[in-house]
Amino acid sequence: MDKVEKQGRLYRMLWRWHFYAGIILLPFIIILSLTGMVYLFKPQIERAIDKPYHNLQLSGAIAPPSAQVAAALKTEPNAQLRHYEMPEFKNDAPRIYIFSKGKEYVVYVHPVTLQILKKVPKEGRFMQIARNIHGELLIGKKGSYIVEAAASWAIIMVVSGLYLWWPRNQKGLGGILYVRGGKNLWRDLHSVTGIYVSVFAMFFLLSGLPWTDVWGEGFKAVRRATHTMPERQDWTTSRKEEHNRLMEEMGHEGHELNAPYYNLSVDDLVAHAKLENLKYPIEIAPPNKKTKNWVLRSQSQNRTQRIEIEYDAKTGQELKRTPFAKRHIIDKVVGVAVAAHEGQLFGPINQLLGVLTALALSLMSVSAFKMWLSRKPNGILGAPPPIKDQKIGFGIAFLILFFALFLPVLGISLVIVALIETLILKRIAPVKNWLGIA
Amino acid sequence: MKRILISLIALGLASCDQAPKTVSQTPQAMQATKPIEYTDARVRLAPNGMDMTAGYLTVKNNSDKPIEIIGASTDIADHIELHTHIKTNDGMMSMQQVEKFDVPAKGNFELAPNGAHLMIFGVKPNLKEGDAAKITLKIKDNPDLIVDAKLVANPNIEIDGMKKDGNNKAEHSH
Repeated sequence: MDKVEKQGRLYRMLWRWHFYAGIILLPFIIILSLTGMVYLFKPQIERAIDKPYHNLQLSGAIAPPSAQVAAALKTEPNAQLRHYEMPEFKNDAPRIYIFSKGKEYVVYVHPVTLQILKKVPKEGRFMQIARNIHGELLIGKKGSYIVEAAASWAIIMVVSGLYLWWPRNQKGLGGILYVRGGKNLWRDLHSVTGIYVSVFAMFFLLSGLPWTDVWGEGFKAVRRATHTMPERQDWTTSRKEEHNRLMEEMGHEGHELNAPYYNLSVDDLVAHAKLENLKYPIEIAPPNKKTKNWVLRSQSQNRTQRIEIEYDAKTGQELKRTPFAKRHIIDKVVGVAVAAHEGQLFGPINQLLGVLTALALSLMSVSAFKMWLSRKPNGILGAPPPIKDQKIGFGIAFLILFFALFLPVLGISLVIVALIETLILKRIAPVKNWLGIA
Repeated sequence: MKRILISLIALGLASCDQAPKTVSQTPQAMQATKPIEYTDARVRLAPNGMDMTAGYLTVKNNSDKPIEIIGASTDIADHIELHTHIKTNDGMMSMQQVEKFDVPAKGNFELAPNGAHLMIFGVKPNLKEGDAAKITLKIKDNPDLIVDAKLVANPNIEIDGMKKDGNNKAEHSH
């Protein structure tokens, strides 16, 4: 086999991979792009949703936070405080997160009258729903696996796409760096958009991995193995994990807090917080089953600005301060990546880059679909024809192995696809022909 | 001295190694209009069966001269002493009456658990959460600062209550 032929075989093989994976991926890329675009504007959207609870008319003195919390706790039987979110402005209602019977609610309390303005299960908040689609397609763990598989395969799409895009025997830069019209329009839209967006798409795909179930779990194991400080990991991978954390922290037994009367209360933490210059949202969490301390933390979406301060519940003494700079190196890397992924690392430009990437990925999906429709022969799927003997070189085999190990869900799905192909699809002649399997 | 001893027993020996905290940033909730301002003024309900309690607040000094709080009084109790936490020679923490609280120029002075506080004696009975307490802070070479404080829950009472009805049991729904 000479070099030209070798390259031709590789090209056709990657084209087939790109084709089959792409067809399955299309709807997922569109779903993730659209929900991702929404999530990029989380602060703005939440502020708009919460507008009725901002700029309230205040006639009288603001009630102490402990009284606001007490009012919120009355809305559910045996409720406990999960955390108190400080209002950013005096006239805003605080958001009080309470826990009752395994469920978390967000309660908006009028800071003067202590009236309950709104109460919503945390899961029912709009951004939470967008997030659940983006991360789990609204079907929990299974959805999370699907999203992880889609993200893993999308990485393959970027890599194989770049190979296919690579200029060979090309005259000029049409279809390489700029879009030509006419019959080349959809093809060029796909490949030219692809080359510009590839770096950004790759960033979003990789920075999304810590949230996933399989890759994320392995990653967390590495984090634990190299851990020096027992602080709370700064991201959660799933609603399941969030729920577990909720149950762990809100626990089963009563607090062990029978110290005399120096115990801290939410009022003290609010007073402390006002002197700390923290970035909003600022959360104040009481002692729970996992920690005996009161915790004051900035949950700034730009995670590099986050900080956590712990106070001894019995004595009121400050025990520990964990700013971003002091966190585990893995948390730092993930923190910066996640902040950029969510469009919150460097302001509106960050959001704009996110939107452009999402739009570009949508455009690539649509143009790919159009291209396929225009080329597809009647009666069959229209996959690129297979190479006769299906032989792959050592280098490619190594590359596949590498990706299968680095992205376990990709590896698993490869095995599943191979099994389905050999055991079922290949044995049913009409299906085999329609799909274009060799 | 006897009184200090009583308050020590009442408040418990808080382990602490901090001097009263002074912070130089601007509290977010305050606007620099008056020379001396305050936020988060609160008096804890007295623990069961006691007639003494603690009051806390953050005082902000907008002027460019340090000020001294030299005394305090209130309409809901007999009298108030200025107290702070100190570390004794044997390393124990104890409460001690002080002559004054110093608020730095353009700075804050936070009265909070584990630090400086208003020790309030002879608290009127039957006060409840949300009631108002007027506290007058005497400031050297300055007019008095009238503070509108609120009676707030005492965390110790709250915790006892929680234990009594054992309502901390979350259902386990894994």
